[in-house]
Amino acid sequence: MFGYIRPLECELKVREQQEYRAHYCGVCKTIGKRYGQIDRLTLSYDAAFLAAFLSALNGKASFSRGNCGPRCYRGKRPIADPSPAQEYAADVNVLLAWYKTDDDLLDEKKAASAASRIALRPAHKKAARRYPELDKALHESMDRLHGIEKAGVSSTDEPSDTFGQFLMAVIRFAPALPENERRACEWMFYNLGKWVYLIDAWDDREKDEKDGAYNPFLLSGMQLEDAEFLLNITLAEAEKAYDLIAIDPPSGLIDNIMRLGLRSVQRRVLQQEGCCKAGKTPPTDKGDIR
Amino acid sequence: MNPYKVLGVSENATQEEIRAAYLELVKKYHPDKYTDNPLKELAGEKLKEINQAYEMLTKKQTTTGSSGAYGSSGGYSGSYNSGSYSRTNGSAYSGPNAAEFARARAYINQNNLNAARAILDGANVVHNAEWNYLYGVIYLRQGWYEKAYDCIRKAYEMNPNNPDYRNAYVSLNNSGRAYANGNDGGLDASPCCDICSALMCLNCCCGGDCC
Repeated sequence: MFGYIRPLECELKVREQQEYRAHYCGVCKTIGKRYGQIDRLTLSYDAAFLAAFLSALNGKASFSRGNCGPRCYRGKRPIADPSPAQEYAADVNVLLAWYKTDDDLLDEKKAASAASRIALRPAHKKAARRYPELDKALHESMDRLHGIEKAGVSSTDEPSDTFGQFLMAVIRFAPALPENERRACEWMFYNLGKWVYLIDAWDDREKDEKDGAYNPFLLSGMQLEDAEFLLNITLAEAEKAYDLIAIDPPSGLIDNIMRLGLRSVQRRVLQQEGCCKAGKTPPTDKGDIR
Repeated sequence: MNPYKVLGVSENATQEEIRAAYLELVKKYHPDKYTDNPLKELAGEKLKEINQAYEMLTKKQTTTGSSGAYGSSGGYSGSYNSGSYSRTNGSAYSGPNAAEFARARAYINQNNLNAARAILDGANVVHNAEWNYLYGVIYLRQGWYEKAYDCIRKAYEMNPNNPDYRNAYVSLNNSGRAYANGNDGGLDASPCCDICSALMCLNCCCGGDCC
């Protein structure tokens, strides 16, 4: 369900691309520091977006050049310095990964999901201790989603709402969130969450049909045109909320993600160009430009 | 408040540049765009700030004429800025359950969606066009777009002449189809990007610095 929130890299300025990668590396390093090396594998684009967004919102991010532990063959490159935004993104990343295995286990019942669940358990415990309220909110959203899946609701509104609430909780508990931006941020993340759920459900139709798993698009028999319509409305709402958030100085990176990146991901998934599944593979920094 | 910053123009911008930036921002935060949005008041405040900034910058100049504020002399002001969910002129609803629907509307204005829903779910309330419209707005504000579209379409089909229903229906359709002809015309699929990514790969393999 993760990895859909990312920039359209070929439209980024070199400096913005470096900034994005610096956040990505920064979150990865922070996960390693806070939870352990193995948990770095759970790193997702969404956490990098969260780190970049929170840093832009607070108007401060500093970078210093550093090495990547596992990829020591690579030269030094800019990495975001530790900050509350980085730490929160790392914690959220671990929580998201945990609830993803939860979801996978229910959907697929595969041994791999069970194994990753065991591997993630200590990290989740630690993250949940740091943010008990956030963990509770996420847990409730997932429970609600599972109830909806079990009931076989054929409308997209109910299941996507739970995931919208899920991401809304993520921004609600973010550190140093300016009070006057709170409402717009919550509406933006709510719609982002809805959009992620919908795009993922559309992307997974074939797989879900084969596995007999829950998918609102399969149940309602909704066609491409209507699905695109819903996705567009959801993105438009996220963008309207984003327009009302004061980011000073303006961030070309966040602008790119909100106005180009999401649209480009959506277009690729809807057109089924094959590379849409790239959203799920662990990100690499080679050839990510597409 | 720094009016230049609000409008996003440099301090030595010409009147034409200021006006262009102003019109661009008015379009961005236009009340019509935020009619059924839970952030309606925020958008209204933003527009007010933009109007003030524009007034400050245009009043500095002695010339008036064509560079005057949009609409009346007070910038893009008036009717839209109030947060109320007022009726478009002359279309006041007068059918059955008028009192209930008026109260539901008032609750929607206050973003109290549960109270509005409670009224609409009442036993004696007729499920006519107005009912569908109000329910559609509730769904919109709560982010349930599939049901919102169903309700608003129904309201529009029952009474296509009502400006409220028509506006809501049209604006939802616009926002749903807005990206169909996006202006970045499949840039991500252009062959140029393939070359870029190939170069990027090469660069990485050779321990390049830029990635």
